[in-house]
Amino acid sequence: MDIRILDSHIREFVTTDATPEDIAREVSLRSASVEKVEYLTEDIAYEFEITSNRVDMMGVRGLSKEIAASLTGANIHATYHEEKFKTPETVTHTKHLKIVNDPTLVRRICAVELEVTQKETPEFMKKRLEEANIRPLNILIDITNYVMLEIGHPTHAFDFDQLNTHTMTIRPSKKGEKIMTLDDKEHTLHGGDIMIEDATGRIIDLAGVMGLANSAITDETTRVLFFVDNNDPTHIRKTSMGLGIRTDAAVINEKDVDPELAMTALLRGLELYEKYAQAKVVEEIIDIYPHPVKIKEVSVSFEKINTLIGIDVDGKKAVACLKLLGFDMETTDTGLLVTPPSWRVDDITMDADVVEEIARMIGYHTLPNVLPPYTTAASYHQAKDLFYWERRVRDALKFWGLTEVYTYSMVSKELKEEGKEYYQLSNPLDEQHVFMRQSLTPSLLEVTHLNKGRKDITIFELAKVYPYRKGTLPEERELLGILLHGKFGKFTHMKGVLEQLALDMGIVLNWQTPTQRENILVVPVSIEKEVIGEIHVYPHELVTAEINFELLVGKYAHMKKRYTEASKFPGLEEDITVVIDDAVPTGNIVSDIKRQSDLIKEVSMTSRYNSSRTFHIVYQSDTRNLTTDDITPVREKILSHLKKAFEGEVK
Amino acid sequence: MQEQLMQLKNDCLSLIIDADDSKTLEQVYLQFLGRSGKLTTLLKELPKLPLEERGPLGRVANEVKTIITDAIAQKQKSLQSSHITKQKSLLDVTDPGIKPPLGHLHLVTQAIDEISAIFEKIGLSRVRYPEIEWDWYAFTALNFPEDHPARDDWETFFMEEEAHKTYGRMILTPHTSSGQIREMQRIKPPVRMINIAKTYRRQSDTRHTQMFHQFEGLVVDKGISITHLRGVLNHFMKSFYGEDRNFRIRPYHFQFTEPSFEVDVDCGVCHGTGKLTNGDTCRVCKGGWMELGGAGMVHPNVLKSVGIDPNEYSGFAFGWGVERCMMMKEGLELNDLRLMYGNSLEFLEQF
Ligand SMILES: [Zn+2]
Repeated sequence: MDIRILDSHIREFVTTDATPEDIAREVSLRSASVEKVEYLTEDIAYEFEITSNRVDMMGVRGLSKEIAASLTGANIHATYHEEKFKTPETVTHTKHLKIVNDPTLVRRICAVELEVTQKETPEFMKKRLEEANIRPLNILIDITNYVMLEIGHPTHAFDFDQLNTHTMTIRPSKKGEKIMTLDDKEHTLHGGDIMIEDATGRIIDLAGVMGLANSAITDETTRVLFFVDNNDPTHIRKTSMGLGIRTDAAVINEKDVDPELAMTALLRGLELYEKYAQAKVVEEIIDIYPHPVKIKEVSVSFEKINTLIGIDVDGKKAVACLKLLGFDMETTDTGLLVTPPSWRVDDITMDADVVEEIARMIGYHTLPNVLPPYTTAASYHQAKDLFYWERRVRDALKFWGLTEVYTYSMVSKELKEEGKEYYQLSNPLDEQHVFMRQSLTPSLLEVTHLNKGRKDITIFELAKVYPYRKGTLPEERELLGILLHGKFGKFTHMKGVLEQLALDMGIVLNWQTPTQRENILVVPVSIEKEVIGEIHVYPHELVTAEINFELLVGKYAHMKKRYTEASKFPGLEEDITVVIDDAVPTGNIVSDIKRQSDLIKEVSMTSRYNSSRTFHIVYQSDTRNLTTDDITPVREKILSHLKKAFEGEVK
Repeated sequence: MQEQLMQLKNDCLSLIIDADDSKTLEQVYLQFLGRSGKLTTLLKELPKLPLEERGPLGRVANEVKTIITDAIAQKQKSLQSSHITKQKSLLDVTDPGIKPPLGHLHLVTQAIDEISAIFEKIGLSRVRYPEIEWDWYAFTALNFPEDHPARDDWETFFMEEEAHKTYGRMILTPHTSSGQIREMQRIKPPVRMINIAKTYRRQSDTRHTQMFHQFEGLVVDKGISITHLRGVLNHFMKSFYGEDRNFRIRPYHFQFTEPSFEVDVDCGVCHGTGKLTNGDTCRVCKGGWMELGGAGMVHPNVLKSVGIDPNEYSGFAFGWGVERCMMMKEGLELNDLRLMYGNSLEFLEQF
């Protein structure tokens, strides 16, 4: 939470020669981040970012302690001081107020009844409230806000004459109860909110969150019940979030304010009422505080301090800074026995917490940079390193002209497969991102729709999918998805890409006959007998592939090298073009040709046009030079076989 | 024989002069110096001569051979040079090159590659852990109290699945910090990891996407201190942002670290001054500094949750957004972060 505070206000508590720049810098480095320093005509405004664990810094007083300590840590002279409040004189005992508390809801109540005279709010107060984004209303209300700003504890004021009875009872609300808050808005309660009701059963306060219209201060108010309630923070958060009432009071109260501060806030308010509203105290101050804050000492060894910070800490300076922050301590032979201040009891519970206080006051920015010692390391196996292959495959695809996309892991209902179970978000942000995907292809197809104007699209993605398993986490696995569209949108292009990727991993892929799924041809891609993915061929120059990348790498990829000695005798090469029925698979022809002679080293199809296919054949012997006389009979054997087996005609 | 040699020399030299391409020259070479060339054949006759003639003739023959060989080499050179001169007049360097194909890697991949390389140099190994995770790993074991706002329905994505008896609700990881717990369960200290993964939060606007990436560093060993965290951060800052950049760590608050820090890098636009050269306030940074993200010393409760004794071991951790760090580095002013996952090819092909 950001709070905005004026320099003049801080200097009522801190005496220092530090410039506003000094304050902004040193406090940012050691305490709360100063987000902004703004030079006004007669003052300077700071905006501090206060973390949720430091509600004690949400008031000027608490913050000033930190400022004084931070400046001292930076060797800039600064002292913190706060005035002692005098105990008020009681005038008369005209009324007797009775408060029935529920200590599970409210931890402390300090209250006082006052007779007041309304006057104009003094300028300084108006200005400070306005700078803190609080609208001045009238002096009686302004003082409650000013006390919250200064002391950091929310306070409330009732118009005493609007209370029907002089008994107030704290209780949890019931579901469905209706109230009207002082901003004239109606709320229906969810139950369990902290309420105050009078003896007639009329609800008069939504404690710690907002006052109610029926007991609010007006310009006619002459008697005030100044009321400081310290509430259970969990109840406050539930009420405030549940009803959407995010007042400053609620935001502070839900962060667990120090109950010790309640009396300070009451006394400071009283002082201001006396000074600016000529207040007279009607009745003795009420203080209901059944379970005062218990403070636990924390011990920390010097060894722990030095090990965790990483330097030998100057003990004297550490002690001085801790004292400024409100800590008490005893020095023992081996360490410190620290008593945290009441406003830090929940925050300082173990040695590391104390080390933090010391280290930040020294200044994290003053510590040296030291790399951690490296003593052992797990052995590394590159061939099994998924990240290595990811990078290699990404680079290969990039240099073959493909572009990488990142699509969302969550997909819409339209992108999920019918009849399949999915992990589903219970609180999706929109309809496009609801189901955890089990395939990359629908997302890649969506990318082509997004880029409709493009003729040729070649994209890929490496990402996880989340196959559904009821009642437990999925076995998340990484897939490689590729989409080729346009001039490269053919099966042979996709097959070539996959074969080359596999070859680089030392893998040979197997191809099986396609099956038809509606208007898509599905070609299983396998290694040995295991299917590792599919190619989908669509009607219009579009082909996609999806490969189980984790399986490919984890089980099959290797980096073993093998060397075969080249033959000493040169080979002879020739092309043979034959016309063969289109239904005959090229793979069968190639393997048949190969079987015709041991002299055939290599056979590959180099082109296929209409019904004619051209095969490139390499003849080679390991023992002698071949002449045309050697290969003529082999060629004849090939041709006669092709004729016999496939009715192949030479062209 | 001497005459024969001279005649042969003259014939050869004139042929060399006449040769106007390398092919002809090659033939001249074969005609005279080849295996059955004229000079080779003549030289084979030498041993048949009487001993007293052999010496002087041999010398002459060798001279002829040298002269012819040199002349051919000379001519070869001049032929090549005139060939290249001809080429020069035909070579238009402004013709377009015939390019091999070149695609594009996603910006996030490029950033992740660089980040992992930087940390691997100092021994933090890359890991990756589940994105669909139990509450216990993402919150409880990381010392988040039961009612922490991060567990609210409006911050974290939850799964429509029954809660686990021990591990609680099923969620989509809102940070990479759950990887700290997974890693410390997988191996005993020393732990040195960099976990880079997809993360998810219930937020989508010009500065947020519901899916993004984080990288999480974790080092746990005996005697790990704040100065070690500083050492690692320093290495990253100088490597990723440049040797001239500075960083600072300042107090902050996180559930799973104690002490906790926020890490700032000085602004590359105003060089850490907060002011531009024309005197205006720099709008990229806050007073010369830019917030990168959080860091801290691993909270003793987090170590305890995975059975590591906090009195024996300590550690540090940091977890930052990949996209955020990248944008700060490149000064890449995307007016809408959602472009990153919009997958317009026009966008992707710029990088
Ligand atoms: Zn700047």
